[in-house]
Amino acid sequence: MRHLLLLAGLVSAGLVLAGLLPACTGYRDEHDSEELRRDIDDRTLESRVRLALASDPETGEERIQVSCREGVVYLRGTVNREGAGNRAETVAKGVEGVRKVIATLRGSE
Amino acid sequence: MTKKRRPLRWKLGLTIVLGLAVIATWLIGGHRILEPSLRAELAESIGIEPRIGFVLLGPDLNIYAYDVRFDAPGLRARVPWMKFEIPVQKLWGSGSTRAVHFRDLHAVVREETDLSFIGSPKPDDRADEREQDADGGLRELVGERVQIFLEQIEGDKLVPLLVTDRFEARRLKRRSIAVEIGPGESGWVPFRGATMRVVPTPGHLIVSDFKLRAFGGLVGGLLDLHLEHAGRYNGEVEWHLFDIREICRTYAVPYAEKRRGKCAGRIRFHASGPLLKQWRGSGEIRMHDAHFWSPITFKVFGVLGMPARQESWLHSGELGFTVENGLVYLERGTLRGGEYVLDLQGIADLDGACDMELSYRGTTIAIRGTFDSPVVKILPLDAITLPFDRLFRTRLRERGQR
Repeated sequence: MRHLLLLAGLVSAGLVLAGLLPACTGYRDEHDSEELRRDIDDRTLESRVRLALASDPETGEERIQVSCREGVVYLRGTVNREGAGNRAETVAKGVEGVRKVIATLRGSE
Repeated sequence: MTKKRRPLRWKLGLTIVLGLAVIATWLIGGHRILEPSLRAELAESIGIEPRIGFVLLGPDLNIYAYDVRFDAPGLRARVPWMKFEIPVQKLWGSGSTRAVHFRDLHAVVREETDLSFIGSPKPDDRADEREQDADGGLRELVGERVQIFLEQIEGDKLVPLLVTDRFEARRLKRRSIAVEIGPGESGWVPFRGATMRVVPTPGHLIVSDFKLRAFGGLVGGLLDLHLEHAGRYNGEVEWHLFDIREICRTYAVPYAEKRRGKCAGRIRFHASGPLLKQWRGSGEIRMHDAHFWSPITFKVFGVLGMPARQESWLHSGELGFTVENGLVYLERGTLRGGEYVLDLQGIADLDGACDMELSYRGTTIAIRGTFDSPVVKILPLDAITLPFDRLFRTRLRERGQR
């Protein structure tokens, strides 16, 4: 009986290890990969928005800071031209992959 | 006999874009990097004997241009020889110097050109200047022979970043610049031609609509160079219809004659600094209608008891990957052939060491060692030993992180 209990304990320990170790010593934790992908996708989206703003005649000369997190684009800075803030928001929303735009742009005057 | 080349390196391949972006911006103007001293020299040169011997921009940026000639009308400028010396710390943050050499360079300038456009824009004149930029100024630049080198101080070695017989840059509206390059070679990547649009923005230089023809296919992408942080950039690159045999021949890959097919893929990347460990990326590779042979497939088919042939046919295959700390993590790989479907995952480093697992009909095969000399074995389906076996996998990861 004691041997059976010992065997059962060993098997249980083995099963626990089988469940836990792959998660911490596998090639790559799925979470890490997804986080890396999301971060790089956000940076790519930032560049696309930056390019779209630079290519637009109403926002091209403005110094607008662009950042992105999980598809949400944040626009910050001060704009010189009247209406450039609204235009920047519209341009950013038009970029493929942007889920939402949060603009905190101020006029220069 | 194919010429032996060094392995393709992503970072070096991308330097073509960085180099061209900076050159186009400096030469065509419209960016704040240039100091007023350059426009003074140029303006004086038109009035007197049109020659410039040497222009110094700041303590560490040198431009040498010899025997510059301006022909009126049309103000066609011809520069038989020009050389830039740019401290690479501005881009890479390391201790080497980048040299840019131009030969037989000429530029076409409009008659009414005011060369002061090269300097910094005045904040008050932005609205007017926008229109001027569209029509006035240096509008075209052509280089008949352009060579860009990464000049390493240690070892006195020149690494070719771009060698081409044709380089053209034209100003577009809203400060962007269209660049077209003829056949050439960059970072050991031979290409048949490239076009791109360079857009300077505050603190950034964006290269968009990038298209390059290489390996029988097409490469396209976007690159965002962060000017205020040395070595920082990010972007995305896609490639289509790459000829696998041409790639193998170009880089003298073993068994090149036994590999053919088409390859496509995509990678997004971000470099937070100049070191390889600061380079991260994620992407996918797709292959179809490929024939291949390698020590890995030979041994894998051997342990599976399948006939090892001279070539294996791959109907289609996909592979996701991420790159971090100098390691490539292979994920979600599926290879489909005539008689098999293999699932693949693993880690590889840039020196060819690999640690992978293939799954075939419930059997797991471990592949370790290197791609050229792999050790292949069937892993036992043992719930207790398998996790311990996987502990050894961490050694590759640890090596990459050192």
